Amino acid sequence: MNTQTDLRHTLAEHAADLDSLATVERLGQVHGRIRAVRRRRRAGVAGVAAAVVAIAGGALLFPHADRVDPAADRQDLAGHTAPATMESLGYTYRFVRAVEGGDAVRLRLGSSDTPQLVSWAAETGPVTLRSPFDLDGDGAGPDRSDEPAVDFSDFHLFYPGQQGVVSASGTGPLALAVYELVSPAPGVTEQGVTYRERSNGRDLVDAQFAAPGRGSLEFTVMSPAGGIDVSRYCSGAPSGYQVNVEVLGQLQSWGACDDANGWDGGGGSVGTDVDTADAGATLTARVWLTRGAGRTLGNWADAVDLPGVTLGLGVYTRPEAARTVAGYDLPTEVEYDGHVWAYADSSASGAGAFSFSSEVAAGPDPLLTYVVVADTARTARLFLDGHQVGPWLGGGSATTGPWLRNRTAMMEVRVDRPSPTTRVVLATYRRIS
Amino acid sequence: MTTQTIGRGTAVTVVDFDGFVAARSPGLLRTAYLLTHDHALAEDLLQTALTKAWFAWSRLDGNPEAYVRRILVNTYASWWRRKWNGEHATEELPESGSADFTGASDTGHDLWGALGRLPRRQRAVVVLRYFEDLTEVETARILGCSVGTVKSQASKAMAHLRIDPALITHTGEESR
Repeated sequence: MNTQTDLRHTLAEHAADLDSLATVERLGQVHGRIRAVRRRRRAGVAGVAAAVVAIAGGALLFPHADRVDPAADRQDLAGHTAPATMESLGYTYRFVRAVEGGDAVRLRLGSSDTPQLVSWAAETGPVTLRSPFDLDGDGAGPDRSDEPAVDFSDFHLFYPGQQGVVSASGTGPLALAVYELVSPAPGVTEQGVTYRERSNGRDLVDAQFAAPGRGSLEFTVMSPAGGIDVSRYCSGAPSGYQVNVEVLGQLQSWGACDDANGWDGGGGSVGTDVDTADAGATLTARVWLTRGAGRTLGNWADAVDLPGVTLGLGVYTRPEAARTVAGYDLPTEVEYDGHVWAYADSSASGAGAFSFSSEVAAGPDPLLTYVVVADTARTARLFLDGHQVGPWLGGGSATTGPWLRNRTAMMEVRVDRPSPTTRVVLATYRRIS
Repeated sequence: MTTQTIGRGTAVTVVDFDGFVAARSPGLLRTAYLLTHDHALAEDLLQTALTKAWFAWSRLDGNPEAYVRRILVNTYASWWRRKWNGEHATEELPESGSADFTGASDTGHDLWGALGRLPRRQRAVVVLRYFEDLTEVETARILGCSVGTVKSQASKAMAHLRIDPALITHTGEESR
């Protein structure tokens, strides 16, 4: 770089090269987000009474739970029967509508405050799906996916607020069906958020929520053998606030209160591994909201209440380890796209490697890639056949990457300035539900 | 956008939210993209900022764009960690990076790549100063920091860029 002129030129060049969403579509999505926030705030204003109702059955988020009639709602489409309900990670989704057509069908996915499943069928497969959102797990959309199962036995999960046109093409007749969330998974549900009994290979020990609008929550649990894994949930606070988690008097994690699209407390939230004392020991866990984002405030910072804030904390057992590699426990199960994936294989780099590669050969059953950067002080990038996928990977983190099917690809992780002890683990998981 | 007359001829500009999104969101998206270097994240960041702004809209007077830009930049700077496909916990924010040592990088995008490796606050300062053409005072106001901090962040950003391996030739000289 020679001058500030180069800098200005580069910025202007890339800004001009932007492929923008249609303004009307953006406006629709923004209003969808606004409705979601207003709904959460109204739930907060409803106060303790609403919370009691929600505890009783998750009624705020799941208003149709008592109206599911599997026999009545079945639909015969494209030579197959779309089931009245579908299960994903323990949640129940209900058939709401479908489109059926010839060699190509399009379905406009409307804005929703809750997640939706899209399933598909064809009299003669396979089907190619196109979506404005990520389908293959590389963290970016729009996307396409070739689907061999064509009998409403598979689905993709769309998050709250995601809307746009999903299409299917193939040899018709074809059909696309939409399912909406109607009842929570077994676990603890309050204020529209569920901590599932089992999540990402972990079993729930306890989960609690602060009263709506309250910025602090503290409770004790009996430690299971092997330590605990904590998942916080926080939504409804603007920037300038951060949520902190403390266990055994030690600050474990902190970050933005931005679980805006959350309904699943244990799955989407950031977990924190906590090594604890012996099984049966009493642990005090605390989560609280403070002013001042981006800083490690420590336990001296006072909690602040804020109307509209939802604050929860789930305590889980540590994930069951399928294998320990480079000092990191690879979990037996991970979750992605509303499916559960089981450990299949792994390989690890030597110490201090700049780059580590492993070939992944996926057959008809999809394989999910999984990366561990076993060095908290280093960052890395994941490449698939030479193309970077996803953002920078944090040191000490484990991340699911793209899934592959009927394809052989070279996974590569490039480490940013590795230390002599830095190691990388590449693993694959096969889909089991 | 409409203009209302209040009291004894005092005119204030009342900007319709939807009209503002239609008129200004493409420009704000460009800023978001320069910050995030990712189309999807940029759209997410922009919509997050617009959603936050909507709730304060009735309290804004004549210049909502500055307010939205402030939300956008500070939301970006404070994003602790965007979760990617069920990412597990780490408290390490991957703000810094290095060049592609495999030689696979596109030399035409070296500077763009180097910008992407700047820490977030520095990248925000660079975008506001050299793309938005804001003054140091305006940049400080948006970032909620002192002018001195803006100066130091800009200086550090330029220093980072000068030593970024992607911008240095094998002979150790800077390249374009």
